[in-house]
Amino acid sequence: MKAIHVFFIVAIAFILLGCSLTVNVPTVETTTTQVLEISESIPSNVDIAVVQIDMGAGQLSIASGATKLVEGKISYNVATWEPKITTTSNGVLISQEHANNIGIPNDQIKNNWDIKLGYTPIDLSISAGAYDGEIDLTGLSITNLEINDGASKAVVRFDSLNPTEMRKLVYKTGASQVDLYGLGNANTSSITFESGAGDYTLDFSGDLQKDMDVRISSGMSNTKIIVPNNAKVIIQLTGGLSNVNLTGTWTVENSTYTSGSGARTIHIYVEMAMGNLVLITK
Amino acid sequence: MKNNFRLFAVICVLVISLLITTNAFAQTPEPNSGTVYQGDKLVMADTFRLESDDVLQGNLVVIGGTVTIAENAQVNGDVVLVGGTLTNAGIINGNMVIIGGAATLEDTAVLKGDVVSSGGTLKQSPLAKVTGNITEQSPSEWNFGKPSPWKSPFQSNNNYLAKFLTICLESLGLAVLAVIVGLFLPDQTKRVSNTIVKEPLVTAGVGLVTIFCAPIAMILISLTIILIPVTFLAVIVFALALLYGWIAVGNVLGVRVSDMFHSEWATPFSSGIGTLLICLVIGSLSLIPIVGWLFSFMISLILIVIGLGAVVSSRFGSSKYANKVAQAVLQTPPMPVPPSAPVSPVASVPPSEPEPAQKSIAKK
Repeated sequence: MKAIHVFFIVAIAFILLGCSLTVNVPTVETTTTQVLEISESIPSNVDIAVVQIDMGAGQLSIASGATKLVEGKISYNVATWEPKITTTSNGVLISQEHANNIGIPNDQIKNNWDIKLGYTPIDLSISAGAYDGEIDLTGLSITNLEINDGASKAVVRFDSLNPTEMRKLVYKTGASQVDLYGLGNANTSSITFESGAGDYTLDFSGDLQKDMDVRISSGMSNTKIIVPNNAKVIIQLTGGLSNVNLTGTWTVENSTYTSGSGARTIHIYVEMAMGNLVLITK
Repeated sequence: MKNNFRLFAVICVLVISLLITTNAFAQTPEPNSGTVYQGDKLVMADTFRLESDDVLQGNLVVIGGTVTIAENAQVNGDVVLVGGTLTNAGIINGNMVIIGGAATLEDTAVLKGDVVSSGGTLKQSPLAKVTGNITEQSPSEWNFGKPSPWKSPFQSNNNYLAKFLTICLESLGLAVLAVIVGLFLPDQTKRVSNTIVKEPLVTAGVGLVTIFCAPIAMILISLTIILIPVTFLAVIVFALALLYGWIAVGNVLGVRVSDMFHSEWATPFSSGIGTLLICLVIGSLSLIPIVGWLFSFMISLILIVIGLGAVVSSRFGSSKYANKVAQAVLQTPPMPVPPSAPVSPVASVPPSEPEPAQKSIAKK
């Protein structure tokens, strides 16, 4: 009993100590807004140009419309976030230091990347931290797409058919909200999507050119898969506890869900530890 | 008592300093290929790539981020993945714990340790090498039943037999969960329990700090809007830590009971028995009219704080860092166990496995 008294006295002292504690929350120091103009030409003697984008926290917008390989501007007001443009023999790397910038962001911080890509075949690689992204690849010739991001809110869309065949599409994301629209237009036969905890939408509508093999690996998440009726879709689910909600016409056999019919087949392997899986045909 | 209080106050201040230092995410500059990263690496809501020939001399903790370990890269420490993704084509000289994340072991991956996955996915190439055990804990058998609505402690209910039976069933359910945890995470549970036994005061201090600071930290993170998913994740991790701490406290009691019988029980059994006893005692106390709920609440709070502190100190028992905080603060060897005191089986470490606290000091 005496020990309990001692513990309570210590606990109260500790709480008081905690209340008087001053924690220097790290902040990010801002300066006047700097703008970096980007205008990179298409490398000569290269069939496929490589574009690598490596940014920290901020807003990223990628769309078509450049007459060169990459055009656009980056607005930022944190000195240490100054982007660097590195031109290589086969493309360009636009990067930004983001490993050493730990701080509580505020409304003053600006790190806006507004990028336009040209219509030459591009091998596109995006790496980003906690960012808000709008990546519209409609009309672009993407031969390879790899996206790695942390806690993000991103939308990637293919509103029309990719004019070039894409070797593979790889998306790895942490705790995020990611929506991929028009994957049928990506013109690829291999998609890998790995995610941690979050909310994800994969929409396979579009002009499917070939059979597609899709590997989805997810931890605890809410994943929505939207598939078209004009293709045969086979979804095989493995993993732990998942609640599956079906919308549209599906044939269910054990952990295999089948829908639609057509010349092309989308085979989706879903490995989900725990979460909610929504399957929609439209 | 005065001296004890002074000592504890000093320890508390130092612990707080240590925690703040830990959470400052001090990071070494991003090196080029072939560089050695010294110390633990925390990747929170960000991306990180360990290039070929890079070496990380420490533990790697990924919370809501995306990490790639390239071929020939090396991590000399444990890897904890919470709600993020990790692709490994290199070498991990340590254990790996996956909670709500997705990990991939590529063809060239080597993992010299155990893998424990809880609510996570592990995709392993047939060519990947894992020298330890792989435990994938499926939550499909978990059934916590319907939560009962909160009742006022002054609410009259004279049906004590029914209430006691309910308490027995709930205790049994939690004991079964403790057995499952003990089955899947035996070493981790031992480490957490070890932390409680060795430094209960420091553990309680850490628990107290955590229980007050964690919600504040979550609120701060949620203010950034974009990190709201991380906050959601943090709430889950916090709840799991509370539950795991409770089970670890149960394991400590179970070990004590086994000592009374001059026997040595397996971790799942001692965890189950200990948790059952604690739940039954606290539940029974709550049946005492008027003041019973207060006793029940206070004892539960103390146990939760101690358990949480142990979980935080030992990093869910995933690392061999158990008692590291105490060692760092006290700067003295571990407190010797008196010969007359019952010797806990969890304190015994297999000959092949270095003593946790000693290893952490050696790293420094």
